[in-house]
This record gives sequence, structure tokens and C-alpha cells, in this order.
Amino acid sequence: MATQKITIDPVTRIEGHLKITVEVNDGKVSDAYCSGTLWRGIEVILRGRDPRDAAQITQRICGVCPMAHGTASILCLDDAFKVAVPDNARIIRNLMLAANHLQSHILHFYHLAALDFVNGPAIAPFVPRYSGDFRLPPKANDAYVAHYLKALEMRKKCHEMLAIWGGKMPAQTAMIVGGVTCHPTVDKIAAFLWRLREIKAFVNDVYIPDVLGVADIYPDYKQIGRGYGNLLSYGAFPLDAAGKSKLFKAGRFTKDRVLDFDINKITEDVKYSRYKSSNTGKKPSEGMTEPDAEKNGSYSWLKAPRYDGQPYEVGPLARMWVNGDYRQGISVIDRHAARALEAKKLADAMEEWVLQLKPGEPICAEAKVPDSGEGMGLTEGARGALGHWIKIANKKIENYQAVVPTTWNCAPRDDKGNRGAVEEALVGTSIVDTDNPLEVVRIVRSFDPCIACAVHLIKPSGEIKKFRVV
Amino acid sequence: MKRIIGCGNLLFRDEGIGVHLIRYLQDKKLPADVELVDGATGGFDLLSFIEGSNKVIIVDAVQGNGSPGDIYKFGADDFEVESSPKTSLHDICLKDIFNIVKLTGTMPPVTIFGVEPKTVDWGMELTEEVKAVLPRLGQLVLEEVSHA
Repeated sequence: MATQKITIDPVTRIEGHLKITVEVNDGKVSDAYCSGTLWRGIEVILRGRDPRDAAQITQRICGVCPMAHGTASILCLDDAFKVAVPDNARIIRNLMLAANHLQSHILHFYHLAALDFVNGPAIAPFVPRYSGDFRLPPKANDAYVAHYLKALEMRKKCHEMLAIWGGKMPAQTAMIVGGVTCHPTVDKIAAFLWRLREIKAFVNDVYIPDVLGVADIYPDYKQIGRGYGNLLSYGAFPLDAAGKSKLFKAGRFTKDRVLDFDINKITEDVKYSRYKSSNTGKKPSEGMTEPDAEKNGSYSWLKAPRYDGQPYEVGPLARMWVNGDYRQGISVIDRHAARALEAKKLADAMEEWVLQLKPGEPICAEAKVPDSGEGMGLTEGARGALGHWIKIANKKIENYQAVVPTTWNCAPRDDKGNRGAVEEALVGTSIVDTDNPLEVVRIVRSFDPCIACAVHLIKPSGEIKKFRVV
Repeated sequence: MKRIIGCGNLLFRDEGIGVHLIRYLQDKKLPADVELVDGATGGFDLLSFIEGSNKVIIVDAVQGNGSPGDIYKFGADDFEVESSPKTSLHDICLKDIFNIVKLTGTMPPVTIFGVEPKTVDWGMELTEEVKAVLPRLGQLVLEEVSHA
């Protein structure tokens, strides 16, 4: 049988999206190509600016996870400015990032991933969807619609929890070099706590049971979408002033062993990326972003980050695995399960942290812009390992680089021709109906990809001229 | 509460027109029941600002094949977007958000003001053509929000 190509490409919706092409032979995926179309050019904007601007500007990279970029950026600046933050600031930063993880996990399951498994009503926003293998009983489908709506309310409360400290969401304004700008007060702590308790109840009583319900009915999805089985976490949520202990430790899992993590072993290949090949194999801190759109053989705007030359998967499953909190398996279902259980772990930790805040104690240390220096900020976004790097010269930004989680997961092939994490996870999967490639989207979505951090123009398909204002 | 929500990405020049308008309006005298919202590239996050409002004005870049700086005005039901199954939360667009708000039964009257961009590329400043429409756009938006 001839090779059949399936392309999943929501190109008509927005620009800067994720495109997946799989080749199918005899009903099985024989090869896969993952293209990201975001050109990472943030440094074009940041070069020459006051370094402190980076923490605000980089939040604008992404509408889904601005908090993660804000966190990586502020850690990067703390490092470059050589300043240690007081406990209150460390805790408030943790609370804001964790609130953002919670909303992201809930949103991802109820408003995107579950649509793969639940046969919702045939109205927008539940359509369009692929048809075929929907196995949940009608009663479970009805309950899901109610949970879909409840989840909207829950994630609004998560944003409110963040905004108690951050002032606003998206793009909080509370994090500054050396700490935060908001004092913890008893009323803020109380306002945070009552929202958190409601969200905890939702996670424990609704979110986790719903994920387990899907897992029970789709046991075959515990067998597919494994990929390389290489997992990487930068670590996040410092529990002491020096950041020695973290709620999620840094580390990696490969060949059945959990191993240490050394940031110096990360490089980025660009043989199959649309950048000049002279920049291949560089460390992120030394990376340059020189586009070469027509480069022969290139198929993605994403670079291919590698650890010690190997591709790795990042995200909640990687964090939970490296930390020893989840070791059930690596598959579509395991990614969803680890994400839901991580939501519980975070919510439990947040309740402890918020009660450790000390009203009246310092929230910020003095930080002066250095004449020159370098900084690195490593954290974990909802979708995985995130790093920012800065070089400062003459008190201005000389270079700035960000390696985002989806660059790890949706990377193209590296210089040796090894596939990226999602590409590898797709290979070998049986496809029942190539017109409705549910297996492919279920695998891709289990990674919670995040690509189009760029442009969302309204591009109406109808006649717009009549709406012109004279 | 009535809300003026400026959408767009500040890092992509004219694409950020909505956010630039919010900043422009911050210094202007506004009716007491009007709130300005920097919607950024909020997607789902805009939902909380739409549901429960008495009236919503959304300002965003609109590609309508006009000239840079052209202003469009239309309602939530006046445009369609080709839809396909989503692989990422980034595939959520304004039309999807309207559909979800309608599902919750809390859809307020919505007016969208769109501005035709000249340049959508890395940079934080508007082009001259688009910057020049800020006063006119601000006036139109304030007139619209002041209607009952």
C-alpha cells in the first residue's frame, strides 16, 4: 500500500501555529514531522533596552503562559544583578506561578484535551471535531458539559488568586528584580485561601476523577504515544532562600534511571530549522537567531534543543517522574494523569506556602543595574522546562534568549537526524481512519503544545468592506 | 460595568493596536461605569471580562484587505472564522470565546472596532499610519461605549 500523508494544520485560524505531518503505511504511522512556525525573535526587541524591561516585555511572548515567562525572566535578572530575594517574595512568586499552572492544567483538560474523548453536544465550541472513536456513555458526556462550564469558573478563580498579588492577569506587574511589589496582608491571604480551597475541592472531586474515568475507558491509550521515554525537568518552586530545595527538583530520566541535570549540556541544533547553519550546536546562552527561510531541507521555525545530544520530553509528566511523584508509565493517558495529580500536589503546597507569609516583613531587596553581567533563569512553565538567558553590557541588554517548553517537545530533527519528542511519540501508532486521525491528535494534545505565542489577527472569512468606518 | 478590551500582541507592531489604544485612553476622562482592559493575547482569559459585562467594546487588528489605518466596526455575529479541530490552546480565537460565552447565557452586547495593520513584525511601536488613527479610534470607541 502506498504511503498516505496526513497533515494537521490549522493554518486558516491563526498564524504561528503547530503543523503536524504524519506518513502512514499499512495503517501505521511510519514517520512524523512537527513544524512550529513561530520565529523566535524576542531579542530583536530587547537588545539595547534597560535589563529590567525584560521581565515585563517577555510576558507578552505568550498569551497562555505569560506568568512562566515572567518568572524565568525575573530569575534571570536576579542572577545577573546578583541579588537574593526575601522569603515573602519567593513565596509570593511561587503562589503566582502555581496559580497559573492550576488554571492551565484545568483549561487544558476540560477545554481542549477532553474534547478528544468526550462526545459533547454538536454545537460550538464542541465542534468542529473529528468523528469516530468516542466511548464514554451518554451520561458521562452530559456530566462533562457541566464540568466544562464549572471549569471555566475555576480557572477564573485561579486568575483571581494570581491577581491578588500580581495586580492583573494576563501580564502581572508585581515581580521586580530583587522581589515583588505587593505586601502580604491578612486580607489578601484570606482572599487567596478561600479561592484555593474551592479549587482544591474541584481538583480532588471533579478533575482527577474525570481523568481517571477517561483512563478506565481508553486503556489502549496507556500503550501509545510513549516516544523516547527521555524526561527532563529544570526544577521549580524554590522552598528556601538559596533555592537549594525545590518542590520539583531538577533532573532527567533516561534508560530507566533518574540522573542529575547540568545546564551546560544543552545545545540547539538547526540543520532542519529555518536558521543559518553556522549557528548549529550552540548553547542557548550563546545562540543566535539568524533566519534563513529558504534553507534546503529545513521544515520548522523551531530549533532542536538536545541534552547531551539526546532529545527529551518536558512537562508535568517529566516533573512528576523526576521528582518521584508519578511512575506509572509514559503514554497519552499518563501525561493527562500526571498533569491532574500535579494540580493536586501544587494546590496542597500552595495552602502551606500562603500561611508561611509574614505580613510586615521585607518583600524586596535592593537591586542595582550592573554595568555588565550574565544571568540565567530556569523554571517550569505549565508545559515544561523554560529557560531565559541575558547578557548585559553598558547597563543595557546585549543579548537575550529564551528556550520554551514546546521547543523541546515539538522540536524537529537534530543534526544527526533524530526526531523530536512528539515526532517520535507518533511513530508506530496505528491509525484506524486517516480521514479522522484521532490517534494523532490525542498524542499531540497529551503534550499540551504551545506554539503560537505570536499573532492573533482577526481574519474574517466574510465580506468586511461594508463594516468600514468612514 | 462596561468594558473596553484592547487585544493584540505588543511585540508585533500594529498587531498591538488594541493595547496601544488602552494606553492612549488611560489619560482620558472616562464615564464612571467604564473599565479599560489590556486584553493582550488573552484568548480564554478574555472570557472573564466579557461575561457579566453590560456592554463590551473590543479593539483589535483586523485584516480586511483595506488600507493601513482603516477602521472597521462590526458585531460579534458579523464575522465567521473558518474552524478546524484544535491541537493547541493557541488555536482559540475570539469567535470561540463568543461561542463559549453564549453557552453560559451571559453574552452582553459586543461591538468590535478593527484597525487594518500596515506592519505585523517584531517591534513595539505602531507604524505612523496606524498611530495616526489613535485619536479618531479613541473618539469612536468612547462614543460607542457611552450609548445606552
